[in-house]
Amino acid sequence: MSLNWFKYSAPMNFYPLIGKLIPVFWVLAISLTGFGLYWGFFQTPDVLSDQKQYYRIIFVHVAASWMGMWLYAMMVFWGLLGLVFNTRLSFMMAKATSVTGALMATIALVSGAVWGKVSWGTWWDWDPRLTMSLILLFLYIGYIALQSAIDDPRRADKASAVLALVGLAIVPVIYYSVNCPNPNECASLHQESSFKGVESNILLSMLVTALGFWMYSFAVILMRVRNIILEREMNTKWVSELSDIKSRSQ
Amino acid sequence: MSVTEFFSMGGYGYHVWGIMLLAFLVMVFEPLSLISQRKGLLLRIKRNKKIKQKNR
Repeated sequence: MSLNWFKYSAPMNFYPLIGKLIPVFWVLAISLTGFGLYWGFFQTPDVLSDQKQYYRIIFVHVAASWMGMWLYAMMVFWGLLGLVFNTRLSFMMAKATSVTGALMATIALVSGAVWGKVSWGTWWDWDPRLTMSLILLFLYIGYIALQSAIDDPRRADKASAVLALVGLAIVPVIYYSVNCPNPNECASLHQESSFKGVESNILLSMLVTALGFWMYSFAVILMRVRNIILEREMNTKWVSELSDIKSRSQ
Repeated sequence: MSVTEFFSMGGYGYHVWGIMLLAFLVMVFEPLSLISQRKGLLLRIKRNKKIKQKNR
């Protein structure tokens, strides 16, 4: 039996599916994040190389940083799909991803600043990784601002998708800013993002929490896209016939 | 490890718990705001529907 994916590219067909997916992602998000943090606080050693217990910020910092980058790539993917196939839902998905991505990038920057203060003695440094992460946040803000600045949603979708596409170049730059092939050419205060030497319980906790953050992101993105669909398709017949509307009209 | 020791995080309690609290608040506020937005949208659609029915 083959599944017709194109069927779900229509908001009308995707809408009922969202309602079924959201609870699944919430259960996964709460259980994975809960388990990851429990493991991180109760099953890990009190020190990580030269860092004391403040290293536990890592569980939120790494998960949020990864999400900030991945959600940007996901936003570009949806935007590109919308530009190529001119599908309304793809643009809606891109828009829904932007706010969660911006929030994740903010959590990553704030947690990084606090970690930097106790670890390096400074809240901020114009280090390549930190600077690129800040630019990533500005790109998210630019995308959201452009979306709200243009009244026509289709034009706003296309313009912001192009902006996101141009900014995609920054994602590999962020990665290579700390995993530079030649460290003399791009000295960074931020440590290399490597799993080498990380204690297995810390690694497990970090990965499970990151997976929990993924599930959380899917859940809220779907919640937001459901609202965007309602907002944009408000005057269509299928929306007025939704069971949500019928039950509320009674 | 006692409860006090656990929360003090070796003297870095404010840093660690502050970040945990920030992440928690963001991750609670975001879905709550979406639920409230959805309620508002459904009410607006319902109102529009009633107006359309009256005008018929």
